[in-house]
This record gives sequence, structure tokens and C-alpha cells, in this order.
Amino acid sequence: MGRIFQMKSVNYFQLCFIVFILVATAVYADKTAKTYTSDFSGETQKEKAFLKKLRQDETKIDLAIRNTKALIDKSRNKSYLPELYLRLADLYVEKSRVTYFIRKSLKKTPLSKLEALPANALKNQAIEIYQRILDHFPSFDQADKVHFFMAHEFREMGKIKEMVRHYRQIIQTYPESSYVPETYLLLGDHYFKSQNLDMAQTHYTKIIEYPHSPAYAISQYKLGWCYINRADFSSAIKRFETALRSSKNKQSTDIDTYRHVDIRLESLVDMAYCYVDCYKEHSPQTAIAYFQSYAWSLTSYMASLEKLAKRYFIKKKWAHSAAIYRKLSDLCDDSDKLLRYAQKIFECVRATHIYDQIAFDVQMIVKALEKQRYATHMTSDDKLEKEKEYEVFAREMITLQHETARKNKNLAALKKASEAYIAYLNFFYLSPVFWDMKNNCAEALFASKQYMQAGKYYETLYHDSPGEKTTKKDILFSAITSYYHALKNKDHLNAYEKNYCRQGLLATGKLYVTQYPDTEHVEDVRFNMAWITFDEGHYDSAINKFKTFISEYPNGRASRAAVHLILDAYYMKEDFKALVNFGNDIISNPEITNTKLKEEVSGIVASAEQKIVSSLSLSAIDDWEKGRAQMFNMAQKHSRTALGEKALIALLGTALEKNDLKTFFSAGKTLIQKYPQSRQHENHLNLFIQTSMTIGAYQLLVQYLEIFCKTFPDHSDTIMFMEQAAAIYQVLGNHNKANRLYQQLLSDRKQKANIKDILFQWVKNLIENHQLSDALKVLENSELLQSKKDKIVARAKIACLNYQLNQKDRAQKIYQQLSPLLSTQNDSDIQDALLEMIFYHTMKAYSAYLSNQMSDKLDPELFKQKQAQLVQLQKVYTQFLKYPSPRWVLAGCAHLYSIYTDFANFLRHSPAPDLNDSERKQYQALIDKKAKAYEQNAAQFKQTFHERSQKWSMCDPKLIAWMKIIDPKKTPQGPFYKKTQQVDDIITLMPPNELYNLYEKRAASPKGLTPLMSLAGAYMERKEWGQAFLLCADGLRIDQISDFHKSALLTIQGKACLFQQKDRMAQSLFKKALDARPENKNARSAHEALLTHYGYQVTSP
Amino acid sequence: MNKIIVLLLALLMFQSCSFSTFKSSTSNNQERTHQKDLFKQGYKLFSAQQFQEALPLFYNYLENQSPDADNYEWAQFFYGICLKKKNLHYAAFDIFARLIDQSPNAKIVTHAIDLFEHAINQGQIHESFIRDTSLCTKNFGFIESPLSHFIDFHQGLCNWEKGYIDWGNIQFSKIPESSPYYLKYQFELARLNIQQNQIDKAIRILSEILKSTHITQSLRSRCHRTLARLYFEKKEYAQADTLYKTIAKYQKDQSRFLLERAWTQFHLNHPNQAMGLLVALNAPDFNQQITPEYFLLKSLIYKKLCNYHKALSIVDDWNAAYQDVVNGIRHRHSFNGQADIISLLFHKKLIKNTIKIIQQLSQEQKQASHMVNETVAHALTTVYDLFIQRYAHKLNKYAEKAYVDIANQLLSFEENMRLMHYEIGLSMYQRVKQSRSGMEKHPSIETTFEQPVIYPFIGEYWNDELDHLRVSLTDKCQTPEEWDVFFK
Repeated sequence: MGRIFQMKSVNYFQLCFIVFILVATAVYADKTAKTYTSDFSGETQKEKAFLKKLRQDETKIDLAIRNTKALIDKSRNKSYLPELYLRLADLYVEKSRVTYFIRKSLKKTPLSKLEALPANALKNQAIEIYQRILDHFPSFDQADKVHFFMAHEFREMGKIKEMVRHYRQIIQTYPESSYVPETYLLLGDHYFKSQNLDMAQTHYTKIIEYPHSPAYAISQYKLGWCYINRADFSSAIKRFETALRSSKNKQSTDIDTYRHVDIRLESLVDMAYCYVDCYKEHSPQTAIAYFQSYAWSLTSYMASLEKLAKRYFIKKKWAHSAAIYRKLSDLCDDSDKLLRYAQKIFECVRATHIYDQIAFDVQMIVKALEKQRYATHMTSDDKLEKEKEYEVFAREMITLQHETARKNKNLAALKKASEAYIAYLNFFYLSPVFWDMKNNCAEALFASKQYMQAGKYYETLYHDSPGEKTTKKDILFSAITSYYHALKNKDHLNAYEKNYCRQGLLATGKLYVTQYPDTEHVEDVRFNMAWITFDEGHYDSAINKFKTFISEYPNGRASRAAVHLILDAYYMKEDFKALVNFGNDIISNPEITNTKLKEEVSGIVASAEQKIVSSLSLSAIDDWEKGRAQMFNMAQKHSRTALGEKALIALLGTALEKNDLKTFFSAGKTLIQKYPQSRQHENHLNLFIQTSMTIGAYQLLVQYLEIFCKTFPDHSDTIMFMEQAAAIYQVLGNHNKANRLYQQLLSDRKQKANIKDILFQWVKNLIENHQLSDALKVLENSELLQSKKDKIVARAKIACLNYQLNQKDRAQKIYQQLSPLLSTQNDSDIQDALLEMIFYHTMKAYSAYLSNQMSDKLDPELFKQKQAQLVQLQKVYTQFLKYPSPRWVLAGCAHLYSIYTDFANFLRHSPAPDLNDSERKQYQALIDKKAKAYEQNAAQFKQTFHERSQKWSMCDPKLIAWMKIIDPKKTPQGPFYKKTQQVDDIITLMPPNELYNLYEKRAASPKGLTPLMSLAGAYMERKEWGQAFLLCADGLRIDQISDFHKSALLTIQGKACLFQQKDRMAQSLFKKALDARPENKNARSAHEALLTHYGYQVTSP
Repeated sequence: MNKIIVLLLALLMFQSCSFSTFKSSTSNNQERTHQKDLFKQGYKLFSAQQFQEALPLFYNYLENQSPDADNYEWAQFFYGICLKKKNLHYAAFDIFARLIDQSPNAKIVTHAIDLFEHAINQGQIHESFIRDTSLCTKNFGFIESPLSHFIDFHQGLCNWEKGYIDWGNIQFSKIPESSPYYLKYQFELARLNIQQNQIDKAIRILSEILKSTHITQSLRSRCHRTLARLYFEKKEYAQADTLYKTIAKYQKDQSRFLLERAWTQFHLNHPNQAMGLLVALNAPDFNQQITPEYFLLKSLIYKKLCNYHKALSIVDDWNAAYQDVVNGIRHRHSFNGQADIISLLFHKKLIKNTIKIIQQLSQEQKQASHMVNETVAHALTTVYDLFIQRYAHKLNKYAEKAYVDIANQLLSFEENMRLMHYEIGLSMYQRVKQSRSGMEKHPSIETTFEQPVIYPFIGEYWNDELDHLRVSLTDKCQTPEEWDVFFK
């Protein structure tokens, strides 16, 4: 085992093998050396040997002639005699040939006629013998052969007439002879040579009948030439095509004359000759394709194309010729040929002024010259001369092409020019105009958008060309511009190119700034240098460069871009804090006057701030305590800034997500108080409104609703929010606040507000609060009311209030107008209102009636007056009984009871007139009877009152006054719950601490009844009846609530109403609760307690 | 009088001219005779295999004769042979090439082509040299087999290269199966199929070639590596590996194939064996053979086995090895001054071959300069100068192009290594995430083999070890490491 990286020890077999190889190589070397010398020496020796052989042949032929002659002599009258003669003739022909070659070998040059005489004499001898055969043996079966040979010999001797005669003889006499096709061919050749084209064509055409003859392909070829001579190129090319196809597999032919002719190649090449005239309209590409289809090798293809190119050139079809020469150049590797082709191309191009293939042409020239430059068989002078010659030639072509491309602004042509320049410059680096050409090249590269290459060339020009500093300034700037443009479209660049352009721009930019600091482009250059650093991803460096740039050109053309790129850089680095700081610096920079830019920056800064906060939010998801603290800190640190606001907003979102309501409302309070001008203020308020509503914090909800309404008085939601807030305040028992909102809604004449409800609720609140004058004022605005009905009701109420305020005249006036309506209006609301008005209208009469009591002395006038009053009151109160209003029925009953009772008492207690006893007795009996009648009436109304009130069981504090008339001792003193509600007016914007837990549970499960019930319970404990009521109302809106829960919620609501002295509503709710679930003991006991309180009998279920 | 004097002068002038013409004609004849003698003498020496002595005679003859002189082409040929005998191959074949181009004599052309064939087979000249002749564009119908197969092969290739596939096929069809060029043609056919994306067809052809009994070692090697690469591309790694295993034992360019085989092993999920092959590349004999790809694969292996620290350190190694080169590229330095990048350029086949030619040319030039005959020595030195310039020019062109490719690759590679660094970090993080979700501390898994042969690297290898070479690598994917806690 040997080491792999060391030479292994060579074993025996390997050694043997190496020895064998060495020996074999040596043998090969020796063998070849000998072969070479023998081959060389063989050339002269062969000539000698050939001559020797000829002489030997001559001797042998002589012997054969002698023997044949002898045999002929002996064979007279024999049947084979003609064959012997034929043999003899052949021997003479053979001897003639040998004699000729002997003489030629000795002389080594072609023979003169005189020198060829012996050979011809022998031929004549042969001809004589052939003739003898024909004369003496007319039936000889090889006569066609004899004629054919004779014709051949006559041709060699130049006796054409005889030749023709014998060939004709074959055709005429021996039409079936195998010599016929060849005979036609040779005759055709004869006529062709003698310019007798018709005859030639006739003879060649005859051969078509012999397609298997070797003469066939040749005849087609020759026919082609006949057509060429007639200028019928179309027919000619077809003949050549046929010749080519039929000779495809026949490399050589048996026909003597054509033995060394490659008919296939000849046909192909001559097709090129015809093609130019035959297919004048064909493009060069079609021509190329045509010859490619007929060629069978690269050699044949190139041969045909050479001919074709030449023909086109001769015919001055320059473009075609140039195209074919280009194709040849592409195929060829021979430097001499390449240069020759280049020369031809140049001539064509110069004639046409079409330089569209300039790049290829110059590349071909360079390819050829490069081969020559390193060729060992040429002298340096020759090489230099050629290079010089072609340098001028190439230069002229390129510059002409560049000029045309520049004029036409043709991008593709400019690209070709640049390619040509590059080929030129790579080779002709010693050219006297090298730098000019390089400059042109750079221009062409730039113009054809090959920016990186252009940059390279300009850079080299700057560093190496011999030029003035002023000229070089432009060159250097061109380099910078080139690199800049290259990088503008960097998607087309690979990693290397990108780097090259970046570094190129930096290097050239640095030079430019140093060398030409005062020029106009310096600003752009400096910007681009910074941009490159940015583009490269070196953001810190780019930021510094751009900052310097901005400080120097605060209002420069590119400053806006610089600012944006710095912002982008910070963005890429995800350094949003720095971005915000930089952005704020820009915004506050007085030197920068571009307000639009500052607006843009402001937007970006805002977005960045959002990013900062978002990142904090994200981190808060993992670690809420830490994240919350961070966000609070940020909010505090950046208090009253956009960032601070965003931090709070983020905190809100995250807190909500985390269900941390304390943080939510805490951040919210800060946000609302510190950022009232925020663009997001509306959204924030909406969020708090929504959240408060969701969790059931109605006290908080109204606060936010109020803030919203104050902040956005003209918002489309404001009226709705105000109405909602008022309604909530109403429920919460905070009538003052509700009234204030009502006032606001009405005073501002909010068109969309529900005026009727607001107005009447407000009035109701004021009346309940004993603010009768205020109520009156409110109702005086009744013109706001839309419907006639509401107006009647309002006016009735005004009348009531006026009566209550003792403003009789005003009341009376209304009364006069409205009272007749009672009989005409069927609407219960109107009837109620009118009855109330009548009630108040009657109140004084009622009081007066009650106060009209007899003194000790009977006063008949008073009696009459009282009686009249009774009748009047009776009429009024009886009227009350006609209407289906329980309240006013009871009022009517109570007052009728009152007036009848009073009148009975009045009668009983009136002093009797001065009567005697019996009269007195009679009088007393009569009075008693009368009084009893009144008392019966009173009792009847009392009974009715009891019956009706028990039937209706209305737990309404408003009925207490009537109850007192009927039964003062059993009458409740007031509503069920005596204490009035304490209303908390402090604005906290925060829910109470102890309720957070419950709120969070409710927030986590807004449709869950357990958290709702828990919270409602908590509200009840906290005596926040209104909130409990509203919360339960919310719960009752839940779909598919069970009867159990419905009943429970209604019970809580009922209790809340009880505590708010809304006994009638409480009664209704308890009833509903019991309807939903009769087993609800809470509801039942509360309901029973309420009924008992009002003195109603409780019936068992 | 004056007229007489003028006439006399004119007569005198005519006489002198006539005399000088005569004299000149005489001396020319003598010179011609002398030149003929030079050839004869040269030829005599040549026949006696005294090539050294024949050389100046032929040289002088050729220098002073025009190409149409008797025996000129033979003199050229013999001169070429003499040069070849002196191992001045490029000078000799320059002459043979010219003789082929000029086609003066069928015998000479036949010999010249025959010499070319032999020299190429012996590695005396580079194969591309024959293409600088007109071999492809001429008809050599007079050359008989088996030499004609050599011509058919090259002409066939030329046609294919120029896009004339059918003509190429005609040319190749003339090569009988018994010819050594038939297998070469088959190999080229396989390559053509690869170019045409007919991979299966190419594989079939290459497999057939390998079945042949008279395949040369060089062709076998080329077939093996092409097949191996094709199997690799087709993701048939097991078959690729079998072939790479064979190649690695006899290839000069062993390092390249070790790396390719390491990739194959990696894809076969044999990280230990892949790493073994990579570690083998550190052997002194493979100095300068390590490429950026080596680092990439190594870090991939470590990453695969969760040896994250090592994987990261390989990225650092890459940086250490190529940072200077990359910096040079970044700062647009020319490759001339950068040794590291030049060593990378040497990996390019064209450049490697051109350098070899230049080295041979320099060696031959040195040899030529020591020739006894100063004139010949000087002439040959000039010829070699031109040759060297020619190949140096080519080398420069190749190098410039290759430099741009390499520079681009390195810059892209730098990016990839950065990505690798990132991905390793990501894998580390993901691993920690997995461990959080229940990955327990398992004992480290060490890949074992039925008969493991584990060689600790001590800087050298035994050839036979390569197939068994495995580096002991621990799969740490199930084993939390100390750094994991940082992510927790």
C-alpha cells in the first residue's frame, strides 16, 4: 500500500508496459523517418521506374503485335479473325500511348506536333486496322465497339469529322449498343465545344433515356451549361440540381473524359453561378439556405458559397454579396481568406452605405488579423502593413456606421457600433486614433444604454488618455453618469456588475468632487455617492452622507430625495426611534423651506411612530406586564406628542386584547384628556363608548357620550348620542343631566331629534322636580312639535301648569279653546291631557266647594251656591268616568265620593232654620234623607273606586292623592321606597376599581348571563339602580334567553324601579317576571309587597 | 564631340551592366546550386537520422528559397520532422499545420495529419492545435483509413460545432466501429444529447461506451465522470456514487471528484462519509484545490447534524479564506495582483490547459535557445515568442472572462454564506422552540456502520482509505446545547 499522494512504487507489469510503450514509440519514430525518406526519394525513382516500365511495355507490345500479326496470318478465314484485328488495333493504340509517354517522360514538357508524329502514326495504323475490320467483316458483332474506338482515336488526332461520322454510325446502325449514351455525350461535347448549342442540347437530351448510364449525370450537367449559354438560368439550375442528385452516390465515373471530374461538386458550384440570375428576388438568407440544402459537407458548402458571393459581387448585388461573404467568414478559419472576405465586405458596404453588420465585419477583420499577428511564417513588416491597411478600413466602416446610427438615434445600430468599436480597440491598441476611437466607443455604449461598459470606458479615458483637464472633467462626469444609469436599472446587473458600478461611481465621484469642487454637477455627484452607499446597503454610512448633503444643500434639488432615503435607511434598519427623531428634526428645521416635504416627512414619522408602538405591542403580547409598563413609559415620556398618543392607542388595543380594562380605561382617560385634538379622537371616543356599553358601565358610557357630543357637536351621531345619553341619565335618575341634554337638544333645534319625547320627558322631569315654571317655559316651545295631537297635549299641559301656578287667565284661555275638544278627540293621550286640564281647571271650584261650609247661621244663598257648585263638579267628575283612563276614572270616583260626602256632611251640619221641633224633625229627616242619598252616592263611588283600583291594582304614586280622599287612613304615605336616589355627578371617566373584575368577566363574555347577573347584583348592592336596570335590559336583549333568566332580570329591573320610586313600572316588571316564571319567589314577594303597600289585596296565584 | 563622349559613356555603362548581369547570373546559378546542395546535404543527414545536423541546412534552404523551388515542401516537412525529433513540438507542428493548409503534396499532407494524430494521442501538443489548421474545411479524400477516421472525427465535430448536425453525422458515419475514433464519436454524441437535454439517451450511449473492450483509460474516465454527473443531476445518487468511487482512484483532478462525491454522499444522507471526503481535501496534495463550494457543503453537513457552532465556524472559515479576495473584487482590483483569485482561475479548464501549453512552449523555447546553430536558435526563439504571445493573449482573454465569472460567483457566494449563517441561526431557534414543545434531552447519536473505519485526520490519507473514510460526527439534533438557554 502506497501513499496516494506520492508516486506509487512501479510494479513489474507496469515496468514492462512502459518499456513496451517506449519501444513502440521508438519503432514508430524510426518507421516514420524511413517512410518519409522513402516517400521523398520515391518521387524521382518512380519517374525512372515509370520510364523503364514504359520501355518494357513497349517491347512487350511490339512482341504482342508481332505475335498477333503472325496469328492473323495463320488464321485467314477463321471466324475469330476480326477479333484478332481488333486486338492488333488495340495494341497499336496502346503502343501509341506508350510511345507518347516515353517521349514525354524524356522531355518532361508537352510534345510538339513533330515529336508526337510517331505516336500519331501508330494511331493511324490502328485506325486502318479498325477500318479493315469494318470493311472486311461487316457482320462482326463488335462493330459498334470498333466504331466507338475509331471515333475516339480520330478525336485524339483532331480528325473531328471522322469522329462524328463514326459516332453517328453507332447511333444509326447500333441503337441498342451500350456505347450509345456515351456516344451521345461525346457528340454533345463536340457540338458544345463548337458552339452548336442546338445540336449539343439535342444529343445531351437523348441521354435522358438512359438514366442508369454513367453519362446521365454528366449529360444533365452539360445540359445545364447549354442553358447557361442561352442565358436560361432557370432551366440550367434545374439541370444542375438533377445532375447533383443523380451523381450523389457516384464519386467517379467510368467515362474516360470525366474520370477526374467531380460532377456533384461542379454542379453545386455552377448552381451558384445560375442562382444569382435565376432567383433575383431571393434574399441572401434564402440563398444560403438553398445551398445548405444541396451541400453535403462543409467543404462543398463553402465552395458553393464562394462562387455565389463572387457572382453577387460581379452582379453588383452588394448586400447579397456581403451577406454571403459574412457567412463564409463565419465558417472559415483561414486568416488569408478571412482578410480577403473582409476586403470584399468592405467594398460591398462602401457601395451600399449599409453598416448594419459592422460589429460582425470588424470582428472578422480582427479575427483574421489576430491569426496573422501570431503567425510564424510572415514577416513583422508584412503583418504591420496588413494591420495598418485594415485598421483604416475598419475605422472608416465603424465611424460611418456610428455616424448614421447617431443621426437616426437607432439603439440597435448604436449597440452594433459599440461592439465594433470594442473589437477594434481590443486589437488596434496601437492605432494613432486609439483614444478618439475609445471616446467614440464610450459614447456609443452610453447611447445604446450599455451603461456599465460605458462607465468603464470613460473611466479608462479619464485615467489614461492624453487630454486636457477641462476635457477630462466631462469624461469623468460621463463615467459617473454611466454608472449611475447602470445602477438605475440594476435588476439587469449581476452581483459583480452591481458592485463594479457602485464602486465605479464612488471612485469617479470622489475624484470629481475633489478635482472639480465648484462645478454645477457636484451636488448631484455627492448625492449619488451617498445614494450608492445606500444602494449597497451601508445604511449608517449613507445616512451620514445624506445628512451632510442635506446640511449643505437644505433646499437643493435632491434634498427631498436625500431626506426620503435617510428615512428609508432608518426604516431598513428598523430604527424607528432614530427615524422619528430625524423626521422631527427635518420638520423643525427652519432652513428647509419645502413645506410639502415636511408634510411628507410628517406622514412618515407618524407611520414610524406607529411601527415603534406596534413593536411594543408585539413584545407586550409575550410579556404583558413589561410591555404595558414600556408603553406607559413611552406615553409619559412623549406626553402630548404623536408618539405618546400612539403609545396610548397601542396600549388600548393591547389592553383590550388582554382584557385588562383597568389599563384600558386608564390609558383611555389619559388619551381623552391629553389628546383632545387628535385626529383619532372620534375613534377613541367611539371605542370607549362601545367598550363601556359592552361591559355595561352606563355611568361611564354617558360620560363618554357627553364628551363626544361636546367635542363633535356637528357629528352625524351627536344627536343620537345626546338622546341616548339623556335616556341613560333618565334611567339612572339623573334628571338634571337628562334635562340639560334635553334643553340642549331642543335649544339647538336639532332637526333629527325626537322632539316630542324629549319635550314631554323634560317637562315631566321638571314637574316631578316641582319646577313648574320651568316646565311651563319648556312647553311654551311647543311650536316645535310637529303633530296637532302633540300640540294639543302640550297646550293642555300648559294650561295645567298655569292653573298650578295660579295663572288663571292664561290657563282659562287655553281651557276655553281645548275643552270642547274632549268630546271630539278619541286619542287617549289627548283625552288624558284634556282631562288633566279639566281636573286642574276644576280644582279651584272643587276647593271652593269644599271650603263653602255653613257657619252657625243658615245661609240659603250659600246653600244654593254650594248646591250649584255640586252640580257643576258632579257634572265635571262624572264626565271623567266616561273615558277609559284608569287614573281619571279613579280621580272622578274619588272626587265624586268627596263632593257627595262633603255635601252630605254639609247638609247634616248646616244649621237648621228656625223651626219647631217637629218641623225640625221633619227637616232633619228630610235633610238626613237627602244626606243619606248623597252619602249613598258617595259610598257607591267609594265602592266603585275600591273595585276599580283593586281591579287595576295600579301601584302608582300619583293615585295616592285620590286614595287619600277615599280612605285616608289606609292610604300609603308615598311611593314604596321612600328615600330618593343620590345621584353622582362626578366625572371620573374610570369605572370603580372594585367592579373591574366583573367588567372584565363581562367583556370576556358579552353574551354570558352569569357575569351580567353578577354585575347587576353588584350594581344593586352599590345602589346604582339605574345601571342595574340598564344592564338587565341589555341582558333581556340576548337571543333565546331562558324564562328563568328572563324572570330574574325582570325582577332585578323591578326592584331597581322600586328603589327609584317607579312603582308602577316595578309592578309591571314583577308581573312580567312572574309571567315568565310564576315560581319566581323574589318577584312574587316584591310584587306582593308593592301591592300591599298600595293597599291592594293580594290574591293567591 | 560631346555626342561621342556620351555614346562612349553609354557603351561603357552598357558593358558594365552586361558584365554585372552576367556576373550576377553566374553567381545566382552558383547560389542555386549551393541551395540545392544544402537540401541534398540536409536530406542526407536526415536520412541518417542526424536531425540536429540536418536542421540548420533545411532552415537555410527554406530561408533562401521561394516556395516554388524544387523540394521546398519536402524541405519544410523534413525541417518539421527534425524539430519534432528535437522535441520542439509546437515549432514542428506549426510547420505541419502550414503544410496541411497549403496542401502541396498528398503524401506530405497525409504524413502531417498522421503526425498530428500521433502527437495529440501522445499529449505532445494540445488537441485544439489541429483545429487551427484547415482540417475542417478541406477535402482529404486521398487519405485512406485508418487515418481518414481521425479526419472524419474532427470534421464531424467541426460540423456539429458550427451547427451542421447532419453533415457531421455523415462524417461520423464513415468511422467504423472498430476505429478508436468510433468510441470518441459516441462520447461526443452523448455530449450532443446532453446539450439537447436528451439525458436518458446520453446515459445509454455512455453506458454502451463503457461496455466496449477497447476503450482507452482517458475515455473511460471521461465517460465515468459525465455519467456520474448525469446521475447526480437525475438525483440517482447511489449510481452516481458508484461511479465517483471509480473516478476518484485514477483521476488526476481527484479533488474535484472528491467534492462531487461528497455532495453525492450528502444527498444519500451519509453526512459522515461526505465529511470524510471533505476532510480528505485538506491533504497537502490538494493544496490550492479547495473551492468555496467546499465550505458550503461542510457547513450544510454540520447544520444537518445540528452541529450549529461548527457550522457557523465554517461560515467564518469561508470568510477568512475569501474575505481578502472578495474585498479585492469589491474594490475593483485587477486579478493580476491577487494570488488567491489566480489560484481560483486555475480551476477553469480552459485556463489550466492554456497555462500548460504556455509552460510547454517556454520549455521548448528554452530548449531551442540552446541550439548550437545560433541562427536557427534565434529563429526558433522568435517563433516560440510568437507562440507564447498568442497563448498569453488567449490566456488573458480567458482569465478576464473567468475573473468576471468567479468574481460574480464569489459575491453571490458571500451572499449565500450570509444566508447560511442566518439559516443556522434560524435552525438553532427552531430547535429551541421544538425543545420547548417537548424535546427531551436524548443522548447524542453517533452514526455507526456495520464495520466502521474511522480515521482521525492527521494530515495524510491512504488511497485505499477513501472509500471507508468517515469522520466521526455527532448528531446533536436531539441534544439541547448550552446556548439553547439563551433562547429560552
